[in-house]
Amino acid sequence: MKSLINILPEAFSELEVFCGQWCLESSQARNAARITASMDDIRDFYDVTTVHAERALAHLSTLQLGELPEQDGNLLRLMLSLAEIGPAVEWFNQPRVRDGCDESHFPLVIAIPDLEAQGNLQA
Amino acid sequence: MSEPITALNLTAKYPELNHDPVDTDMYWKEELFLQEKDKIFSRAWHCLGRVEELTEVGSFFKRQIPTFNLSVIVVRSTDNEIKAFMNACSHRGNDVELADCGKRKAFTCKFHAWSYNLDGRLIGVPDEAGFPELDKPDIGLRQFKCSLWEGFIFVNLSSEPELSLKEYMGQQGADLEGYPFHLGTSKFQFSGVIDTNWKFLVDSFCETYHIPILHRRTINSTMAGPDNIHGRTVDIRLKGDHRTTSVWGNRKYQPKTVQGLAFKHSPGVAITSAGDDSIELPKGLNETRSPNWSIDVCVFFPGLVCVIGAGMYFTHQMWPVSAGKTHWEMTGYLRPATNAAERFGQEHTMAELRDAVLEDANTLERMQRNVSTGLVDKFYFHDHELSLRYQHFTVKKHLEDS
Repeated sequence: MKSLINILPEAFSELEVFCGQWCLESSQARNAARITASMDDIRDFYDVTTVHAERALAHLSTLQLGELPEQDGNLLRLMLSLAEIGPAVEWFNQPRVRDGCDESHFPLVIAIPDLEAQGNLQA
Repeated sequence: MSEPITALNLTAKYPELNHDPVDTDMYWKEELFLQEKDKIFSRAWHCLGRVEELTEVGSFFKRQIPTFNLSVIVVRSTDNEIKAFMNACSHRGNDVELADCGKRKAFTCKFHAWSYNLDGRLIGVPDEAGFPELDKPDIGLRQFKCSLWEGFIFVNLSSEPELSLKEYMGQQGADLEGYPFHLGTSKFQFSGVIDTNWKFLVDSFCETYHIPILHRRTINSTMAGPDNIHGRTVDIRLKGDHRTTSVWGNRKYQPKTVQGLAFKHSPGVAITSAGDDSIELPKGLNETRSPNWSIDVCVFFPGLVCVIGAGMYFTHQMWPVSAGKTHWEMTGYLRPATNAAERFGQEHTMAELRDAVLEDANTLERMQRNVSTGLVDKFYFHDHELSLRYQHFTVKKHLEDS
C-alpha cells in the first residue's frame, strides 16, 4: 500500500484518500479493482472525483506523457481508474457488466502503457 | 438535423437473396466446420498485424493461427520486404523463435542451433559434416505468401493462392483505401476463447436490431435511442464475399459525466462520426453520407471484422477451432495521445468497448448451446439482418463449390 501523503500534486490533495484503492499501475489492475470493489466504494470515488475531474484533466492536458513528474503520473493513474469505473456507475449500477461474460474469458493481453510517450506501434 | 430512419427494403436490392428462413446446420455440425476449414479458411487471406509494428530490418512478431494450430513469424527482411515463415525448424520441427516479438539478425533454434537468416534461408548447421547429403538452399523455413493492404499484413497459407490480396479485398477494400489506418498507433488487445461458432461472433457486430434490447443499458443510447427505437441500420452494402453495415449514431445524445469528459479529452473519438472529424472519409465509409452515422462494420470474409469510426478503429479476428469454439481477438487502434489528459479518453474508450462486447458474449454461448441440440433448425433474419443472411448465403456457396 502506498503512503497516502503527498502522492498527488498539492492542488488535488482532497483526492489522496482514494489513492490506496485506485491509484494503480496497469489497465488490468484497474479492472480487477473495479470488479472486486463494492458499489458503495465505486460510487464514493465517482462522486468525489468527478467534482475535480475537469480541473485535473485541464491540468494534465498541459503535460506530456513520457515526462510526467511522479505526482502528476499518480494523478493520471487515479483518473484512469475513474475512466475504468465510469461504466459501472453510468451504465450498470453495479461493479460488473450486467449479464456479461466473465472478464477472465476475454482478458486484456496488450494494454496501452499508462505513462509512456506514444506514437510508435508496438507488436 | 436527424434523417428518417432507413426503410425496410435492403434485402430486395439483392435478387440472389430472399426472405426465407435459413437452416442452422452450418452453425454447429462438426463435419460442416471441417469443410469450412478446408474450402474457406485454408484458401483465404488472413490479417496478422500492421506494418507499423515492424519498424526496422530484423523487427519481427510471432502470431498463432489457432484454426490450424500454426505459429507464424512475420519479419521485416533484409530487402525491407515483409515476409512470413512457419515457426518450425527444418531439422526436426521445433519452434525456431520463442519470443513474441523483438529484433533479430537470425532465427536460431534452441534445440540444436540450426539458424536461418531474415529471408528464411538456412545459414548455420552445427557439425554440418554429420549431414553428408544436406542441400541447404532447399531446406529453409517454410515461407507463406505475404502481402500488404493499407498497412495491414496478410498471409495466405496455400502455396498458390487463387486470388491476389488486391483481388481478395475487392471492391470493399478499394472503397476503404485512403482511411488513415496508419494513425492508429496506440494499440490494445483483448483475446480469449468463446464457446460459440465463429459466424455467430461475426454476426453480433453486423446487426443492430439487438442493440435496443441486449445493449439497453449501454450503447443503445448512442447507436439507436428514441429516434430509432428498433435499432435500424443506416445502410448495408454487399460487395463480393464481403459486406459493410453502417451503424446509426444518435446525434442528440447527451453524454453522462465521465463519458463527456472522455469525449472532450480523447485523441479524436466521437459518438457520431459524421462531420465530427477533420479527416475526409473514403467512399466506402458511411457511403450514403448520413448525418446519423456512428461507425461502419466492414467484414472481410470469412473472419476479419474492421469497425471504423472517427478517431479510432478496431478489428475483430475470429479464428474458429471447432464448430462450437472460436478464438476471438479484438484489437483497438487509437490515435496517440497528444497530451497526458488524452490518455484518460483512451482508457475510457477501451473500458466501454470491452463492457459492451462482454454483453454480447454470454448470449452467443447460449445460442450455441441451444442450436447444437439440433432442435433449433431454422433462423429468421430481419431485413436489417441482411449481413447475417449474406454470410449464410456466402458460406453455403463456398461449401457447394467443389
